[in-house]
Amino acid sequence: MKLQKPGAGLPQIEKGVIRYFLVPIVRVLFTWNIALLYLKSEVEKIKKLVESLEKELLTKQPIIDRTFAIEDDSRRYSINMVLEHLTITGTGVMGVIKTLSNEQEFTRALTIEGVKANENKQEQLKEFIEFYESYFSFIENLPKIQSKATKKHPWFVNFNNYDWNIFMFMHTFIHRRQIEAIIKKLGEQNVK
Amino acid sequence: MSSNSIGTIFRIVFIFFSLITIWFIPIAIGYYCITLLLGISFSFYNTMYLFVGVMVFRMFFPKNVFI
Repeated sequence: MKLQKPGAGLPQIEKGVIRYFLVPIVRVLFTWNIALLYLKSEVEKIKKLVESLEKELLTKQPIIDRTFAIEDDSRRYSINMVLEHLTITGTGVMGVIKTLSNEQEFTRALTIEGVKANENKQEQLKEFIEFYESYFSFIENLPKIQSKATKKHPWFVNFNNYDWNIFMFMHTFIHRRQIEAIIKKLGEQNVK
Repeated sequence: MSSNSIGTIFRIVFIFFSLITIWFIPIAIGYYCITLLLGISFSFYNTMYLFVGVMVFRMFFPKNVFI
C-alpha cells in the first residue's frame, strides 16, 4: 500500500473543523492547569497500554486505517514510533513555550516532516516517560501568563504559549487513539 | 471514516462536556451562595446566562484570567 508523503497534511474538511471549530472552543474551555491534568491522564493511559503489550509487538508496523487528525504517512507507525514522535514533538513544543513565555520570537521553522519518527527503537517508553515528567515539572513551574508572542502551527493558526500547552494535550490524546488503533490491528493480524 | 475516527470525535465531544461541567458547577454554586446571601430565588436560566457570560468573557479577554 502506497501512503502519502510525510507532511502531506490532513484532508481539508478535517483541517477546517479543527482550525475553525475545535481550536476556538478549547481556548475558552481549558486553563493551564486543566490542560495539564488531562495531559497527565493521557500519559498514564498510554503507559498502561504500552506496558500491557509484549515487547516485540511495540516495533511492529501494521498499516492502520487513517485515524482522526493523523496524516496518511503516520498510518505505518509502530507503537514505539508513536512514542518517539510524541517525544520529538513534545521536546519541540517545550522549547516553543519557553521562548514565547519570555516574549521572544521563535525563529526556527516548524515542519511536520521535522517531527516524524525516524527510528523504531526496541525501547522507547522510558524516554517517553522521562520527557513527559520533565514537561510536567516545566509547566508546573512556569508563570501562568499568556504570551503576546505567538508561533504558527504548520497546519492551523498562530498559537501563544497557553495554546501550545493545550495543543500538547490534544496531540497526545490523538496519538493515544492511534496507539489503540495499532493494538487493534495487531490483534486482528494475530487472529488471522 | 474509520470507527477509530468516529470514536475519537465522540471522545472529543465528551471532553467538551466534561469541561463545560467543570466550569458550570462552580458558577452554579457561586450563584446559589449569592442567592442565599441576598435572599433571592435561585433560577436555572440565570445560571445559564452567567455561564454564557463567563464563556463570552473568556473568549474576548482570556489573558491572565482564571489560570
